Amino acid sequence: MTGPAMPSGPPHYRAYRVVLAVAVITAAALLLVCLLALAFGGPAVALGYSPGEWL
Amino acid sequence: MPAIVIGVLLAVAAYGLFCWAVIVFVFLPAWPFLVLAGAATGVILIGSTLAGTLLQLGGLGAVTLTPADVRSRLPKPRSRFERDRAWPNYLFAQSRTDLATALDHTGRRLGRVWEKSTMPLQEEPAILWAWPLLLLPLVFLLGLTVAAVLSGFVVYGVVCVVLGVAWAGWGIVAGFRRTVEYATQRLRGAKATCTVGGCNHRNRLPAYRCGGCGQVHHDIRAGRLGAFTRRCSCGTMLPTTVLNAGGLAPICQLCGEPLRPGAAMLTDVVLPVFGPTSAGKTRFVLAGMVALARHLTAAGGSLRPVGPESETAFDDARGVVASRADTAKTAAGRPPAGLTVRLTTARRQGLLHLFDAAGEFYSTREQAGDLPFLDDADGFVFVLDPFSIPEVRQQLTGPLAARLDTAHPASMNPEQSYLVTTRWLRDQGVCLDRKPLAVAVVKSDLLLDLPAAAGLRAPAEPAEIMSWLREKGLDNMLDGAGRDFAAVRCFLVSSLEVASDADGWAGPASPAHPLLWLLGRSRMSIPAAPPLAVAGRTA
Repeated sequence: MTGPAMPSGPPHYRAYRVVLAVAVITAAALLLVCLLALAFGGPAVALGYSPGEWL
Repeated sequence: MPAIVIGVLLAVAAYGLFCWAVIVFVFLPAWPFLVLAGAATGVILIGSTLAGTLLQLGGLGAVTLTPADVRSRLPKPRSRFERDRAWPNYLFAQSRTDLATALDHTGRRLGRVWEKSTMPLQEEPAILWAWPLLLLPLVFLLGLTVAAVLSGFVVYGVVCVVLGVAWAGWGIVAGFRRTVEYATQRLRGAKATCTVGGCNHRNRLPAYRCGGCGQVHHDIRAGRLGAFTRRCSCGTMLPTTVLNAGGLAPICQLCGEPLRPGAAMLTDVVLPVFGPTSAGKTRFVLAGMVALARHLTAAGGSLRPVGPESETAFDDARGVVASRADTAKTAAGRPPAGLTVRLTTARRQGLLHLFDAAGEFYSTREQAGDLPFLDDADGFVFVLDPFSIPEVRQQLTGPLAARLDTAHPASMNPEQSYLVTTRWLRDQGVCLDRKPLAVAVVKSDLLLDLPAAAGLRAPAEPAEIMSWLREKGLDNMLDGAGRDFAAVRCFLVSSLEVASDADGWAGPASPAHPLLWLLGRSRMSIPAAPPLAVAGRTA
């Protein structure tokens, strides 16, 4: 292939990847928050457990 | 012996006590924390692996697909050409590779966690005696694995949704740009016509040569290689619509020769001129061009030959018409190259391609097959030599026989020539019923003062010319033409000179009239002479 070397692909690849990575990090962070909320927060209490009892 | 038994029983009791104590006082209080910690680790594992792969951190990046991979990674286009070598849009190749690589990394990482965790057990199986303690890492690993699988569905699902939205947006944008381009081309009547070396290929999508490396791009439209722009393998940015590709060199998809500037962007009109040998087709084309140029200039526009061959032909045409010299017979050895001129009016620009093939090509259906420009013409000019009509010839006897020699009449009956060509066109699937036909009755300068032309005058209305032709026995041909074509109009012209008035407007017998009528029906209207000019001529 002739032309300039672009080991990471053209610039628009980077833009797409950054957007996707932000979506991934946001989704993972939300999952963690949900996990902690499930463990310590409302749902556990609603199910009749106090956090102390459940843990 | 009893002592041994008692010792064993005590050891078993102590081991049971140990197990019970570990389970009750260590495992049971700790397992929720371990599950939670494992689940959190699983979520972080998924997120960090996918984000790391996308951002190419820590050696996790996927292989970059280059233009060299386009043909193997993208669907084959519905064209006879392979996909162009350009950087593909991220959505259509690289995104799949990135996700697959991230998935692979995730599986490997999870496998490594299990492998490292179980390694001590494989090396020292004896530690199994402490199985209640081993429950702790087991619960952690189970929590990690289940959370990794579940969060993997969620996080990869989110990525797929983002990609799907981007894909839908791309589809709307690319589809809109394609639709607008197609509609604009249809409205303008824009096509790319190759007039080089008898190629005559015609379509709406020319190929383009990259300005950077010279590589040919066969399908430059918005697509998987770019919605707004595309990046050639050499790195040069190229537009993705034909209408924006004015800065690139268009080339023919069939023969690879350069096309005229403005191909597929400007109104493109192809007008084949057909008729038998010696009917006066070449003379009509030459005189018609010169007359059209003068008429356009009078109307405030211009006519300019495009390309060296057309420039030479146009210069020759002006010389031949000015000197009223005889026209050389068109070579019958090979199909003709078109004569291309660029027309400019106040409202529109366009390219007009006039094709003039030797009459021999129209004499048989086999030879007419060598004229591909007939397939996709915007209209036709049938050059009818009145001196080849049998009834006219019969009247030119005695002292009038010399006029027949002067006229060099066509060798074939016009009706036969018309039938051969139109039958071949129908067989080729050409929709004649959507095309106009101009019947140019030429050599009026030699005809009008003869007794055989009784009933004709200049200027003659199309109905008068048709009526005269019917009287001369061409009623079958005219009836057939009326059925075959969308519109038929007869013109009485003299190709000996341009027959323009002092201002350049086309006169009554000007060979420009058939061309003006056909151009008007092909979205390239050119103003007619103003009433004052017409009145001045007829007065």
